[in-house]
Amino acid sequence: MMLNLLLVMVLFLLLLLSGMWIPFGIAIPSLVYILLVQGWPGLNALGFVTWSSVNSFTLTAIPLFLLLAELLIRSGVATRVYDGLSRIVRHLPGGLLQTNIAGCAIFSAISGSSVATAAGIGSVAMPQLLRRGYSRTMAAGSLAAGGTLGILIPPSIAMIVYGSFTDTSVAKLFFAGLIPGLLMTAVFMAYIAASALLSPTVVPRAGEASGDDIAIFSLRTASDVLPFVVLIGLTLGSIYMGAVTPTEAAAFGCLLTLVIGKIWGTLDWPILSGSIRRAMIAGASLMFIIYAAQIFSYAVSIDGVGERLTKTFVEMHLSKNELLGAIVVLFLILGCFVESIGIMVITLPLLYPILNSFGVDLIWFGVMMVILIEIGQLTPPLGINLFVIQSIWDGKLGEVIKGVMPFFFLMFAVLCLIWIFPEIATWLPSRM
Amino acid sequence: MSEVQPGGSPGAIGRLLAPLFRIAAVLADLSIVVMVLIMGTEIVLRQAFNTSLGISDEVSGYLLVSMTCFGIAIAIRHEALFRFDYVVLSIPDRIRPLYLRVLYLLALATTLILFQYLVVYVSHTIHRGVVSDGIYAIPLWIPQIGMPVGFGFVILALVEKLVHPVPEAE
Repeated sequence: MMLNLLLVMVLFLLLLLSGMWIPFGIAIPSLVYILLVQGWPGLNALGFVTWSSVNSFTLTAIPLFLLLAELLIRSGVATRVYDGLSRIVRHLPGGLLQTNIAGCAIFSAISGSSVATAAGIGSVAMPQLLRRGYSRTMAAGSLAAGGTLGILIPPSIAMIVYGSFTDTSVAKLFFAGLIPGLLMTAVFMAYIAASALLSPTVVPRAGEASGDDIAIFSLRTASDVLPFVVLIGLTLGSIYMGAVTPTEAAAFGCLLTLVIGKIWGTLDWPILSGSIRRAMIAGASLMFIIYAAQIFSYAVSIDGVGERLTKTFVEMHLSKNELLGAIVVLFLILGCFVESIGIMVITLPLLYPILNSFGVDLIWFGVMMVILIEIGQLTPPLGINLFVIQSIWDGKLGEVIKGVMPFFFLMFAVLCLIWIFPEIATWLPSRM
Repeated sequence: MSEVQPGGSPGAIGRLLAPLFRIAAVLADLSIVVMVLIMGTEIVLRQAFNTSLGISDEVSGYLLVSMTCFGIAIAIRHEALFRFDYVVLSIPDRIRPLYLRVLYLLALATTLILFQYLVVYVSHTIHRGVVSDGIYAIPLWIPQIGMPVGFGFVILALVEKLVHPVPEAE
């Protein structure tokens, strides 16, 4: 019965708004759903559902990419890359603001998390930007928006989760996000350049800082940036060539980062153990959400609601674009209240059969979904990147939101472009 | 294994349970470390020696189960689980502990249900002598035992939260 699903969704929203932890907010309605459909015997499958949802080689990539991001941030590799990049792009209109976007883009190419990207680059960049007198709103906005590139440019934790729920190739999903990610980077940088040229208050006039005297083409710049570029090339290149799986690439990246950190002398036992602990906690938190969502997915499957929803949508004679329009609106609303992975795992068990019946390309839709989730990460009141940036400076949340608004519309424009020209996302994976 | 500490003072029950949680945290940490080492070894063997461990996919999945189940309790203690906390923060300090206890009680009830069914599931695996499909036919109760044990730690973490819903340092 659709009534069961409606009751469960209301319960989910109530628990979510009440402040219940999201995994429990998903698990409780899911257990209620199973009880409504099959009674207590329905719960007998819980053990198997737990085992089969968490025992996944694909999902193993999540803690490993989180560990990689932690190692890069805590061992100071991210700082050196930011410094090196700042020398390369600071002469563009917008100066260090351009470095924010370039830094986030390049950091995204090794970190699968937008929070890690925003935190990693933001913690390095924000003090410099404020010290040099850059526009506070623009600094915060560019970092929060740049951070979202973390889940679009491969590797991407969101795409790993999407792949595991839809049985699509994670490697293809990764490379489907590459061109849209680079397009988004270019659009962000073009906007910053235009703002800097049109509004003199965005970028400070003068003020040299330490390190500004180092040339673009210098040994120092090369040593700051090149190891990171090699790291990206080896991990992403090996996935593209089919030499390793995304999960193995994450482990390979961790080992390479250990080597780089050791050579630079920036890695010691406290940093290593702290990185492992943080990655473990973040990974367990994410996996708990995914596990709870798998219980929901099981409840949906025993109720057969996916098939009924599909039939309903087919009988409504919606066009593919109308269906996608409805999904976009749904995601924009959910993005205001639900954490990004939460949106994905709650909606996919219901959307997957519908998308299949409408013949939607699941690789292309994965990219669309990730961009929608990115937009959600910038939408108050629960846009997590807003809080990440606010937490690393002394500004107000309002300033971050004001700074993010133009980027929000730019992301929406890129989303529309990919909607109209799906080849932006599908061309590269079709070559694999 | 790390400098990352739970927020606030955990109180008497927290101090009592701390050694147990330390064991859970180390087990979860080790799961990630072994994942990296196994996959690193697999890549080297495959690319350089054209051979394979033959178990890296399988064991990585088991390690993810272990990391997740032991890590959830640690995430709860570190307040690292995601939540929409506007309502919680807007509740007057006087009533907040009671409100949080209601939420934690619901979470505890859910965990107890999951724990019960996990115990039953793993017991069946043991009695039936189920082994993995991999080349080493690993008895599946070995990787599965982490599930009920890990959720046991979650129960303890939630009991601690019920006793101290707001960390003392807050």
